[in-house]
Amino acid sequence: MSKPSTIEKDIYLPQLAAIEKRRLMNATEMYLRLKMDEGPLDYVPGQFVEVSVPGVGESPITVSSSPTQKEYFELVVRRIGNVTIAIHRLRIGDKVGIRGPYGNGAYPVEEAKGRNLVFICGGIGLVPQRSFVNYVLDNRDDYGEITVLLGTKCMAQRFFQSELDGWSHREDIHFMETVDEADDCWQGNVGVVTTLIPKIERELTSALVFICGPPVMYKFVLLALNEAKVPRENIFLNLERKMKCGVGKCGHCQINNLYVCIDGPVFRYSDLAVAPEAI
Amino acid sequence: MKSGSRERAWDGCLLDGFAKVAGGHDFRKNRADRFRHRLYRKGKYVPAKIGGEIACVGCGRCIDACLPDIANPVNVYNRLVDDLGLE
Repeated sequence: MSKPSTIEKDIYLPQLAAIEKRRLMNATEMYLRLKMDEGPLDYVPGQFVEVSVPGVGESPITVSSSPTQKEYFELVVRRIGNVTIAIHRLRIGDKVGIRGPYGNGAYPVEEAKGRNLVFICGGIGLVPQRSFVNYVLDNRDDYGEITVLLGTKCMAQRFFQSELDGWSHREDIHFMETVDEADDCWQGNVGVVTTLIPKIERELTSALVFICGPPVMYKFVLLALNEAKVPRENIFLNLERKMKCGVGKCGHCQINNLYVCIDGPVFRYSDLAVAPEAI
Repeated sequence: MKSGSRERAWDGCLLDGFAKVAGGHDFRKNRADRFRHRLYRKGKYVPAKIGGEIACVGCGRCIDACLPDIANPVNVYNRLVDDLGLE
């Protein structure tokens, strides 16, 4: 038998976490509240963890709760492949493996202090952004005005509804929402998320803008921000990819020379000018 | 658990779907993009990150296996230097 490695902690060795709460939020999105067996998870908004189900595999999932919440952390998992289907089958009390948190380029929590912030989210892109939004709401005095724009495909796909209702009733956060396809029950804005951008021109000046959504969204949001004359240094893109190993070995998440798992997942747009694969 | 087995699966940056994400979007869908990425990775990205001239051990297996005879990294890098004057 080979001797166990004594050089460093094994980077592929997961820690166990137990599921405390689970709730299906719409047809495909599962909310999970987890607690690490050994001490709280120490993370920054925007960082992700590798969630593993024994015998099935591992998936990178961005933490959705704010680190101001120390007791537990929250994930939102869309049912889309083998691992995420297995995660959806788990029950309260079941254990999953957690590696991480990973991502040295998480949200610029310090740089954003005192600035006005604009969050542009598309669909499940709300999940990583929610971590930073709630972090800002928990440290409200440190930050300027907050604006959150959310675009969802249709009414049935909305999630975190009660939390979003809470945001829309708060005085200290400006929340706007739109759906792509309206139905009889929806009375709000209709259209893709870019249609909301001209409405917040005042907020966009001198604000830091954070974008997260499906790949197709970035191009159009960036065009709209360009039209609103937002400088590239003020735009941050959350570029999630297939972060398979999470530690810069496998290359699945590479965008030219950048590794999303190490250098990201949040990138400043001006740093990406020479990376044609990014957008 | 009383027993287990070690499973291995083929993977490689030239294979279709290497950069595909769960939502279905493939960030390097074209063969040319993946070929470019492979050579950039061996010739530029990895050396820039950890030093050294080239991140290729020179085993030659890609040259043996390549039927259209385009994989030889020596030829590619030499042509980049000779024809295009790249460093």
